[in-house]
Parts: sequence; structure tokens; C-alpha cells
Amino acid sequence: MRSKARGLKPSPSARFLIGWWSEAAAPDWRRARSGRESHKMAALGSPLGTLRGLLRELRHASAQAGRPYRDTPAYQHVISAFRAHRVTSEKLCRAQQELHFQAATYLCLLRSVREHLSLHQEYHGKGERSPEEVAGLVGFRLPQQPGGKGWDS
Amino acid sequence: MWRGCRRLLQGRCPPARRPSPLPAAGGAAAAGPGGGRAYAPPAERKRFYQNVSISQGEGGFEINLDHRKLKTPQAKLFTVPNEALAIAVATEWDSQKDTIKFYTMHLTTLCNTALDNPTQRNKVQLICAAVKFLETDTVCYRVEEPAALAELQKNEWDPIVAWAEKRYNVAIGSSTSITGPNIPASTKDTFISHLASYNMWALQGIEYVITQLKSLILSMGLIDRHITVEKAVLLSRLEEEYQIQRWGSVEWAHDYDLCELRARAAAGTLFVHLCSESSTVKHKLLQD
Repeated sequence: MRSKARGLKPSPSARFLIGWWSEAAAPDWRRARSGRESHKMAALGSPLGTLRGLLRELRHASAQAGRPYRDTPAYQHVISAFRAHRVTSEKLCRAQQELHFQAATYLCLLRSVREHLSLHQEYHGKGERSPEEVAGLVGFRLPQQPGGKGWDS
Repeated sequence: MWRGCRRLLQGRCPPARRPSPLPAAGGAAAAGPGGGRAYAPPAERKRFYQNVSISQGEGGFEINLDHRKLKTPQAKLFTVPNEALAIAVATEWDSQKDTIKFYTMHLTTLCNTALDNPTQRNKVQLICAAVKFLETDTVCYRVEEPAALAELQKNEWDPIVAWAEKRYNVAIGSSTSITGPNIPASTKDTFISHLASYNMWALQGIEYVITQLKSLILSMGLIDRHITVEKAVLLSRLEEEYQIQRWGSVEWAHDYDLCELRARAAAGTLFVHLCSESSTVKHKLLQD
């Protein structure tokens, strides 16, 4: 369940609701280990997982730009932001949590935009069929009229 | 229906970035009534730039498409106050392949709305529009039957309502009647004064998220970082998810709507956080 959530999801609603909610509710053991403030923050999982997902999404996003994704300003900004907030002596660092939440939100945005686009291309991007195609669906062929149909077409 | 929505979105953020007008997009390929040609979607704007970069001007950060500066639909210069937001918008423009799909560029749309204010609402009107959603808030509207759905709503929505009541020290409650819950005026005043503490840009974002999720309480949960975007979208679509679990999911409708709602809610939340943050980096001294 968890690995399905971290990686690329083929159909988000394929998972059953009960499993999804218990996943979204809290991986308690992970939070206890990281020592974060639990009752106020959202259940985000580990920052490393979020960072990995973000970098993967950025790689997808710049795949067609030609440049390697490491040159993009987004990549550098993400890496430097994570690096800057990594070292902290406090166990409950508010700025770290805020950054992690922002990173997770941005990851959700990139991922869902990509999935939305692929769904759109697959199901809604092709326009209507021509009359010839429609006739062909049921095995007919449109009649050939060499002189035209009599009106402008 | 969705095609109409796409045209609406394109109309909201029309692809007229350059002085030359968009070629009569639908005209060439659209079918006349007696034409007999198939309808094809209107020709989209091709990607006319190679590089997207960011520069800093007087008003804030600007986006450069090759050497041209990006402008809003009302031809104002596109400036954002925050560098991270500018980078995110630049990434959106950079990730367009071949054609520019405006319906995927949610952050750009939000920035355009904040800059142009096409509905010309001031701060007070925005806050009123946002708080008005509380009267018809999704998480306060409960059903009585089927019993499984009623229980699901109780288990999932009650905690978030309780959190909101505790966090803002208000009384909200829930209701099964068609008129909805009775929200006392003090609750509305509390929310109005809370929302007044955000600046204009953040308010546009908040109102956008509320309109998408159809719930003020879920939006406040997102903005206060109490729930994640996925969880907020799940709670907003609770009845749909229940029906999907019962009857199965239709990918081209359910998954499509889910991805779109997640994208919009995430964009709105990110926009609000980036516009309302003031980050200072404090360097700690290394003490040996």
C-alpha cells in the first residue's frame, strides 16, 4: 500500500477506502521516530520520500526541455531549501515542518497535473470522429458522389 | 461538459501573450452546419519559446520567455512578490511540450487573477464571499441514509469540524436538514477577522481553494497545515468515494475529476502559503 502511494499511481481510486484512510491517518511509527510534533501537523511521511518524489516529478517535467533537469531553477531551489533546513538542533522545528508541507503540496501539484494531462490526452484529447469513421464503426461506407453533394462542402 | 470548462479556462487566461492575435483557432477546423467536416478541438498555441528564466524587477520577480517578458491577460507585467512562486510558475511554463495547455497551469492562472482582479472585488468582498461558504459547507451537510454513508461522514468529518471549532474557538455543528447548519454570527465574525489578516494575494488563493473544495473548514485545515491536500480532497469528495467503492470507478470521469481537484487544491494551497510567508534564514552559530 505504502509503496503504491509513493510511486506512480496508475489509478488513484483503485485502492480501497479503508486502506487509503489508514495510510493517510498516520504512519505512527515513522512520526514517533522522527520526533516531530504529531497532533498538529499533517501526516506527511518522511522528508526524504517527499524530496525523492519531487525530484522525480521535476525530471518528468523537464524531460522535453532538452536541458538536464539539474540546471533548472526549480531543482536548485528545492535542493538548496532542503539543505538549508536540514541542520537544526531542535527536534520540533516549525520551519522544517512548513517547508516539508510546502514540498509535499508542490509534489501533489506536479503529480496530479501530470496524471490529469495524461488522462485528458487519453480520453478527451482526440476530438470527434469524422463521418467516415462513424460509418466505419458499424461497418458501413459512405456513398461516393463524384459530382459533389450539390451544396458547398 | 468538460470541453466547455476547458474553453472557459482558456477564456479566463487567453493565450494572447504576444501583440499578434491568436489565429482564428476554431474557424479553420470547426464544422459548419452543412459543412460535413469533423469537429476538431481548436488549434492550441504552440510553444514559441525555448528558455524560461526569472529576473528580478522593481515590483518583484518576472518571468522571461526567451527574451520576452510574460504579461497577464490584461497586458500588465507579470510580477510575483516571491521567488519560489516565480520558480514554480517558470517550471509550469517550461513543462509545456509542443502546445501550451493553459488548463494545466494553475499557478499561472492564480497569479493572473491576483494581478488583474478581473472580478474587481476588494478585500472585504472577497472575505464575505469566502465566509459565505460556511453556511453551505460540505462537511456540515450530513445525510441520514444510507446508514453506511452517514456513519462514514460522522467518522471522517466530525474530527475535522471538532478541530476547526477548537482551533478558532467557535461553534459550527452539523445538520441533516436541507437548510444546513445554523451558524451563529460570532462564528462568522471570528472567521472574517481571521481572514482579514491575510494579504490580497493570499485571499485570492484562499477563496479559490474554498470554491474548489466547496468547504471553508477543509480549506482552513489545509492553510493551517492540519491536513494534506490528498486528505482534504478525499474528505471533500467523501460521498463520491463511497459510491466509487460501492459501484466501481470510471477512469475517464472519476480519476479525471480527482486529479483535477487535487491539482487545483494543491496549487491554491501552495499559492496561499507562498504569498503569506515571510521567511528569514537565521544562521545558527556553530558552538564547539
